[in-house]
Amino acid sequence: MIRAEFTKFRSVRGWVLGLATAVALFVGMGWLTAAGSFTSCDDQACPSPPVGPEGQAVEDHFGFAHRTLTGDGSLTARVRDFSGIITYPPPNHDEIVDGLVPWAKAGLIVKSDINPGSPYAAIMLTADHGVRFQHNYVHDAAGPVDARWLRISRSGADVTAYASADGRNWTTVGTMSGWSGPVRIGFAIASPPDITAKGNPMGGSIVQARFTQASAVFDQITSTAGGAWRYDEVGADGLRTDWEKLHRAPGMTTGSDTLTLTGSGDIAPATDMRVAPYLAGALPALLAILVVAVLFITSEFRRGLIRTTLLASPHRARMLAAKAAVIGGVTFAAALIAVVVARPLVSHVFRANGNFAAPTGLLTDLRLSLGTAALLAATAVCAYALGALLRRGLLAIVLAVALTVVPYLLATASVLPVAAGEWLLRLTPAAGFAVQQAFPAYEQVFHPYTPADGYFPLAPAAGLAVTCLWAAGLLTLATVRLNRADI
Amino acid sequence: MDATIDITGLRKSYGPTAALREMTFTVRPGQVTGFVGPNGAGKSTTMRILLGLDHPDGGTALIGGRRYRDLTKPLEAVGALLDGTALQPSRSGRNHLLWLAQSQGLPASRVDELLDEVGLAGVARRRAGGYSLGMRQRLGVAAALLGDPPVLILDEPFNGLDPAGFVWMRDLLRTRAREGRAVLISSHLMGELQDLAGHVIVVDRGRVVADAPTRAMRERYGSLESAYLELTR
Amino acid sequence: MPIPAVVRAEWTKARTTPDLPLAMALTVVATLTVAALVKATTADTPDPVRVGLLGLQLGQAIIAVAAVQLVAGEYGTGLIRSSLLAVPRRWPVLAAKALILTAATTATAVVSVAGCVLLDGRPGFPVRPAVGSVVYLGLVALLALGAAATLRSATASAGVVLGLLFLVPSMLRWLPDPDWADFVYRAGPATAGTRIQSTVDVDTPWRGLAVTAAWAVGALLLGALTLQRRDHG
Repeated sequence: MIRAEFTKFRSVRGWVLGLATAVALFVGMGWLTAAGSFTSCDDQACPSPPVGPEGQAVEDHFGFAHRTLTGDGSLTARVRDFSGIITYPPPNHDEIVDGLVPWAKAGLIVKSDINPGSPYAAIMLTADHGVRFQHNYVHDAAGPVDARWLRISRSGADVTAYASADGRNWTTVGTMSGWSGPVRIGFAIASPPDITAKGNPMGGSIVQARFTQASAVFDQITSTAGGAWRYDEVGADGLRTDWEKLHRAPGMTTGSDTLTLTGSGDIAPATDMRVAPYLAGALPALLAILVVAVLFITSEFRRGLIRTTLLASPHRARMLAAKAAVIGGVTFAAALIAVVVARPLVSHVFRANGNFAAPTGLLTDLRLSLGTAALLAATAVCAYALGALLRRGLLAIVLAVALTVVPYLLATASVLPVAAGEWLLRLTPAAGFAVQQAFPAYEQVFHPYTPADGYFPLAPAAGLAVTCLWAAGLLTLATVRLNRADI
Repeated sequence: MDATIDITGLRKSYGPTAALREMTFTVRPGQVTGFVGPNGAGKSTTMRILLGLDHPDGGTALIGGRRYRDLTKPLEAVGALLDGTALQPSRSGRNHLLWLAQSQGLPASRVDELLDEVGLAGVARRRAGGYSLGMRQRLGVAAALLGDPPVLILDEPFNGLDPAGFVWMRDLLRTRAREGRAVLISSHLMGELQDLAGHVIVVDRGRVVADAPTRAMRERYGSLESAYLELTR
Repeated sequence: MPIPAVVRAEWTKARTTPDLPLAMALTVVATLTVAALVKATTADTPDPVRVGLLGLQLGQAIIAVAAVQLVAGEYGTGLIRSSLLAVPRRWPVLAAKALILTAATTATAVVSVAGCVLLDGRPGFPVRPAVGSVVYLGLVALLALGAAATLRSATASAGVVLGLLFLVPSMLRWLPDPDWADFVYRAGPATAGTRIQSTVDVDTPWRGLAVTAAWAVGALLLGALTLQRRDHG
């Protein structure tokens, strides 16, 4: 029966053309988007952000006072003072105020070298989030909230971090394995920019970042590594703000039993990253697919062909399911072809225009590609089921668009308040667009993680499941109706 | 107004296919004129051009000496039945006639008169989507007669009619012709036309192959059917 | 036939099928439902006026499809031939449809916008976004009407119109080049037109509505040209 329905599908030129149009739109829109994106940096190659040990683009800019540790050893210190400044914060943006941004951090770190992007493990006191154990940019674990005493120690391949409120009772916060050879051990200070984001009517958020600086005074220092503390500004870009030039330069000062570090930046996964826009065409392709999927069933009702179909296969539920399998399968195949064509082409054009395409990793790549194909297929089945339920092509198309494209648009075009938009992306079939989220939302970086910025409220699999549930539910309704109806 | 149809040198191609090649004939009032030919001979194309729906590549198609498009109240000049099934299914038959009447400035009372005349008064307020083929055909005839036109052009008027419908249609066409109107009907029913039509135009491959009184055709070929088969071979 | 007669006929057509009245009611319901939902889920936004009128984003889709159906529905059923037989000059049919559609949409939009303003409940709802939204909805309907007269297929027209209204704005986030995005934002019929609702982006809002008007006029002209030139047999 599936074969018969497939023959029916491929023998109508309009539908095959519609699907071909979808593929063309998918590839074409991706290409157009990539062709329209340019990044140029004064006639030279743009610097790309460092890539961390786990493959992500990372931010690695901080003040580092360090010694070399060749074997086992540890460093213990207390954060005596932690303060800073924020330049021109809201609401008036007219003065420099004292204060720390929530993720400003000061603490102890073990890092393989001073190159940006190299492996590290750190135990840091943050301004608003207590003590954190972070390593290799993407991992973040909470420690005690009120601790000021920090310790990091290396034993063989393991680096373990501890925190304490009084310097006597220590809690283990985390361990990172896989270390070998000599490492740098020392103090780190970082203060990410102060960020405000507002919705952009053109989509996405307009992010404003303002310079901040943090200073920490460490005392009660015990180090098994010998030698003097050397200071480096890891990942320095050589630029200095007026504040740094005129008031307080970043750097290190050592007292008799204290060490003071001043600096800015962050040790974290990079945000504001983009992958090559090879999935940009999914939405226009979806519109073409919705039309084909609806017509696949409503044209049978309109032409009376449904009677012939039901004479040939009187089991109505099976007939509907077979058609659903065909439209879903055909859409999946077409979408996969589109992705396979679009990915290399769009990535090439995107990079050729000087843009940096953030690496995502093989698994994420597969999920983006297969997930998008699955999303289109599930949405096509939704539209088809609506067509079977309503039997009127135009009505079904409008409803399908209203359920899928419109919620996605409202939620991602920054028109809707973020909370309302997120609900739309949890409840409607548009939830499946979650498969297109390329980067996880990292809690340890303050960033507008809104749908408009490409962050969805549901995990990819959960989002896709919502869309599939809609497809299954609508298909069930359509089956019930067809079983009861006189044709 | 002069109830004559004049087709002169009409040409029309759809892409590489020539539908009409120099089609020329005249339809005179006072009789039923049969318009016959195989499928694809150009009957419907001629009618559509005559009614201003299609544009000819060359030649003229005039009704009473004027192009259809230049008629000020076309439904009072020409009544046409093209495809009886062309209805909005959710609109009632009466409302279908009502908007047509309003477009010509005809009173609503004219609609009810016609519904009586075609025998649809009882179902006039029901959705047209529920009409049988015969009822749709009757509604189409009513639309054609709405403006009491001196010229009637009907494409396959017997389609979907039951035996009583045949009798009704036959009488209706005869009466209108006898009143001095020009009646042009296309049909594949040779037996029906043989009795009904006073004149027959046979077309094949886009041009006229015979244009003669029915009686003359019968005398020469024995029957209209033989004439048709002979002429369009 | 004089234009008022055509308008009257089209008015009868529009009111005697449930499509347009149903769409008008649905538009109001959909708009106000979205508005109520948004109101319930939204605490504080930078542009409360625009958010208050957000329901029209959905409402415009329904009105646009009704407008498409007004023309394309006639092609679907073949009814267009009856219409053109009654009005062989053709363009008055489109003009009359445009007139009736504008009236119907304006009435719908006034009710919808008034509902949004009442739901919003804050005193001193600004006049420009409210009036502008009514005009915008009328222009969207005319754009859809013109598209349908050009493309003549309901599904194709609905696809194109919904694409223009919804896809263009949602593609903006994929255009990382700000100049491109800005151009598309200012040239798209929906993005340009809805700037009239904004109380934040107040830079030349009426010019945005003029862009939408240009789209509508362009589509109507293209539709009229298609109607005039093409065969409708």
